[in-house]
Amino acid sequence: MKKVKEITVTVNGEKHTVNVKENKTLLQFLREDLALTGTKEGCGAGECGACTVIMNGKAVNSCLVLAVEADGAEIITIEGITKDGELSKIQKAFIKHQAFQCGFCTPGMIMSAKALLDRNPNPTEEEIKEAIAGNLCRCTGYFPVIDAIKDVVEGRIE
Amino acid sequence: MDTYIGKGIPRIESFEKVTGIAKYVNDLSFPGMLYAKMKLSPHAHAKIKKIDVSKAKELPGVKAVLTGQELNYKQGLYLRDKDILAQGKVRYQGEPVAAVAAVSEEIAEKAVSLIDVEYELLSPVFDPVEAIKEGAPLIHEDLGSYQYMKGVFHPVPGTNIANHHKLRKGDVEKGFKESYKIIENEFTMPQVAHVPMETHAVIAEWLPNDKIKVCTSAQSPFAVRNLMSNTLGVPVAKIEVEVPYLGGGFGGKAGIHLEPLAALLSKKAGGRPVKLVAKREEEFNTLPCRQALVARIKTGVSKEGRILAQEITYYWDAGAYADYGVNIGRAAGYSGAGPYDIKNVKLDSYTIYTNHVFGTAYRGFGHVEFMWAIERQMDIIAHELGMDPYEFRMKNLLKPGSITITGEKIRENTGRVDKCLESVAKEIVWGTKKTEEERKAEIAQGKITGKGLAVLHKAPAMPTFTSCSAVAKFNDDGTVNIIIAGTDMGQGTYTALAQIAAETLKMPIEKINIVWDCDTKTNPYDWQTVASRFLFMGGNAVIRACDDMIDQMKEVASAVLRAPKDELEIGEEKVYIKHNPDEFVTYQQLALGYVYPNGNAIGGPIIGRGKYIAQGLTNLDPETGQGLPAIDWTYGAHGVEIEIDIKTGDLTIKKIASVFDVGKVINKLLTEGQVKGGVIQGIGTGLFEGYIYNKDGKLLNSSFTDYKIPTAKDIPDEIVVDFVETPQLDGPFGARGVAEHPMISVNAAIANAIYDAIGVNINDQPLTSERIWRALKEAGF
Amino acid sequence: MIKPIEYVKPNSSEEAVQALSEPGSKVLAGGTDLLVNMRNKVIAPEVLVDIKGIEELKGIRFENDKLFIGSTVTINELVEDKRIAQTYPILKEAGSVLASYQVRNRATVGGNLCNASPAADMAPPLLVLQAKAVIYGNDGLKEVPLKDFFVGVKRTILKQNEILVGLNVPVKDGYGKYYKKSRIKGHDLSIVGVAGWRTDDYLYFGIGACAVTPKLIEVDVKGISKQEAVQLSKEKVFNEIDPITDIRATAEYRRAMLEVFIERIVNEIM
Repeated sequence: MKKVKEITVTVNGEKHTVNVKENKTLLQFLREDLALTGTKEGCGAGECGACTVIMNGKAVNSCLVLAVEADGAEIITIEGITKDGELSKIQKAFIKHQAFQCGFCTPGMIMSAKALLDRNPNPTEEEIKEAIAGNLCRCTGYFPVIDAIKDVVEGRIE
Repeated sequence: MDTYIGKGIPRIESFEKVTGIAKYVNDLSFPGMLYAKMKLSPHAHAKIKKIDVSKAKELPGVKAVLTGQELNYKQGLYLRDKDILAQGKVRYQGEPVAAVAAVSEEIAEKAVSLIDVEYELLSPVFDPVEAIKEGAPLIHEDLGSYQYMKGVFHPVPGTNIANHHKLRKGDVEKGFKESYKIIENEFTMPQVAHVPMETHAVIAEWLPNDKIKVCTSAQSPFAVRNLMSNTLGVPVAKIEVEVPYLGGGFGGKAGIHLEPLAALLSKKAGGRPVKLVAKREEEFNTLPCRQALVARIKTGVSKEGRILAQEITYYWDAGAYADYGVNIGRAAGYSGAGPYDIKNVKLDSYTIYTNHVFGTAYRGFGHVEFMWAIERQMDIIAHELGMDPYEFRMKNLLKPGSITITGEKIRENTGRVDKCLESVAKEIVWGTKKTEEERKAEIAQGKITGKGLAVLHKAPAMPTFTSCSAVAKFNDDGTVNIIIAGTDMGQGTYTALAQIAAETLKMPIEKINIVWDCDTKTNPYDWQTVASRFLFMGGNAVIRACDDMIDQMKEVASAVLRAPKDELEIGEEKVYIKHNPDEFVTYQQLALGYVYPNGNAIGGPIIGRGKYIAQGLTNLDPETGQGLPAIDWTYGAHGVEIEIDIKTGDLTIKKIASVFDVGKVINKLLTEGQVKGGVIQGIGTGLFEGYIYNKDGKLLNSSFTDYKIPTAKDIPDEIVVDFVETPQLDGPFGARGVAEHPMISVNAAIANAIYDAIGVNINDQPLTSERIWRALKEAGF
Repeated sequence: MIKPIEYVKPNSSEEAVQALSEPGSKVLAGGTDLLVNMRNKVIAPEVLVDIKGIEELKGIRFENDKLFIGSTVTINELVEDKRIAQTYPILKEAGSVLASYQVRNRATVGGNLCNASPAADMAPPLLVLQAKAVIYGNDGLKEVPLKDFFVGVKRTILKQNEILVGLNVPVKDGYGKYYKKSRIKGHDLSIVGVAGWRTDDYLYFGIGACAVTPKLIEVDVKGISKQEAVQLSKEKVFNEIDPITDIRATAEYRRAMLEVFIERIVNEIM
């Protein structure tokens, strides 16, 4: 029984054709094989959202996706949203509002926020809450996160 | 120059955190690194008859297997009662009994599954009140031989009492005799999990020369070093503890945890680095949580509403170990009557072993638990007297001139709890009762509203000799590196310290670098990053280190400028002559030593040294609890407005207002953030968090599936944060800590609002919709 | 950690059924429950058969008098489908409160049903809509009413080598509503989930998290008042459902919430 499979996956714009173990999650693949450790594991069970990445335009828990399922997919991680050292608007808004404290949930939170703004540039407050309700944060109480996303929506971030 | 104090400056590590480049322990790896997994006990109390690790050892890729039998060590902070791996018997389900290090996580996990353990069940005890009764199963037979901090803690060998803290002030019997009413109630609170988003993680190396290197998710690297040394008998000089970015702590990463186990696995594996990362389930089930509490309070009051006497018994469910937990019982012993002026108090605080998961420090350190009881009791008393709970509190709160229960005199600058209460009451428009019509209209809509208040206080709970130090040194370019050994786990203290340094040195904050990755081999000593003490003590140490730099600069500048030292002043990164500012020398010129035009040099690299040690604290009298336990008190209050669905018991917080007397706000943006986060954590505790066990003591909600914490959809409609600033005379720029306080008494304020809404007292937590629904039934809805 | 497995991704139902004939094989759809159970060692399949590449299992189609929902349609695809929102807002309501946004991007309608959790949020609305499970196996296609699909906790009538192709939902006029009670407002399992649907003479209730399987209950309300309908509905529901106590709620509370939701639903849809 073979336990390794070749996949081609584009991560942050870079195409990788690699052999992966078939029991490896996308989260493990990103962290271990590609050394993209910005994406965190908080529970391994799809409950905390710390491992959120964008897969084919959609926010997903990378702990609930097998790497082999990502064959042919386009993945964006926290490492992929800073262009030439210039922070994206959502990152700037997170800094302005200090929408993080310990920073552990932050990459996942930012990816959920980005996926929301990509699909819906004008979300309501309820839609914002809905989009990040799968990202647990024990530090901030979410208020600054919501404020940061609203700031991007309302064009207050350059 | 504008002042940095009070400014809303974003965290100095913001860029690292929004880009994912901040590295936490689990993001690191080292050549040859092994992965560790633990075998956990399925039983709450059982003798270990046999452990068969032979199959695990034979599995290819396994490099080390350990069981408790081989590890004759006890670890712990105040009372060394904890096994590294269970020895002889297990005391809670989830306790590690064996551990494996292997070349991959997969193999380690497989190896653990191949370990066979034979148990013989022992009678367990889960209720702390039952556990101190005669004949209860003993959990620590050897309590009498454990090492502990003498004169501070009082274990009772031959019982399950890990600590009995006594407080006696005045004469309660006399007070009760004089009382118009005596009101007695029992309140309970379950164990609660910290839930840092980063679980405990450690990488340890025990090299063949007996040097131990540890990279760990610990709040307190020096405490880890010291406690590892005590436990393992290795000199501190041979132990190096490093803390990179830390994904939240909340007290759960204070003291010592998995570090010795990882180190011993490394030793057994010949010195290869071993990584041990707790699974989320282990974070709930194996690592410690908040202690549960049963509180009994009897209060005597006068007709006018003055508290005349209070008798309190706290039964702390410490769980299986109390190495850190004993100090929670002690803190409750000196602080446990709340911020009230009471003449006669008798308080007994028992830290009791049970067969639950063990408890430890958790944001609030006992105060979330006992303030729940106190602030519920205060409301109940007010209602019994027919008084407004606000008025009743105002009548009894500590004010300048009051004497605390340990005999400490409250002074003008101690802080003003009354002002905090006044402020939140105003914010939620307290005192406007709804009319009967309005109430009926609400009920007709299926909703009913209520308002509640609660106050709080807390001082750092720490040894009398707690100290801290800082080093400030110039770099070539005139920038400054500040090195300290408190950790920043997200609370933002490093940013506040940068502000304090910039302010003291009168230089731009951009040129201040607080060195990250706290490391015992290079950083100067700090006790622990706990107890809301780091800003206070670390801030004072940083000011002194900066002052020392200034003094050294003036020394050199005095020669260069040919002026007496006391006629020199600093500003704009220059040392200049007060009356002739054109005569100056720049910081950069002085940084590594001043060089004259002819090549002569004087001074040398400038390194400032600052330290701070708690001043004036005393051990408390073992019989009366009298003495000085508190370096500073931070007071606060919450006011909440709630709405209850009268059919389902669903509770919505419409508004919460929280005000604290922080002495001086150092960073508005971060302090407000700290408060908001703490309040939401307090709401989680109040409304739905808590450990649930089956009758055999198995934890049933050991994952996020059934242990729910607030999400973005569970926050109040509105939150208002404000501060009172009564300067702390010995605090840095007048500041005192406010890390833990935001989550204290939120639970009680909500329960008080529930009473206001429906007239039912709920004295047990959490305030789940089902519990509120039951109260609604009781109220006849 | 997930134990070593083999992963296959068939292109057709035939291939899938063939792959599933191997012992130790298991269907992988969204994976949001399956991979968690594998991580927790609750199950340990040796081969995962990923059905997301099979054309006939995809898509949402309105065809004449019926609606077809492919089993691999994700919850968010369903929730975000405009025609669904117009025709069957009840499906959107139920989908929107299932787990978290990220989970809904992976979790599939078929997976939610095949997992057969008593608390599955998609079961109650699909039950009241009289959905039929379209099953493919060695004997070809067959249709089974969804109410007969669940046979026990985490058990369905699907055989090892059968797959759920999708759901056929008869398009009929009616009004519906889904109510869910959970412990928190965010990502949580339901402790009671009630879907209600009204046609001319009947009320249908789909009840989740109160019995070993999601249940469908039919109430004839011809010619009776709203109040009578509430009473009758409660009687009918409690004839068939006796909620249990677990760590999420007591039986008593579940019962009370069932009553509240039945009342609210009848008042809203009748």
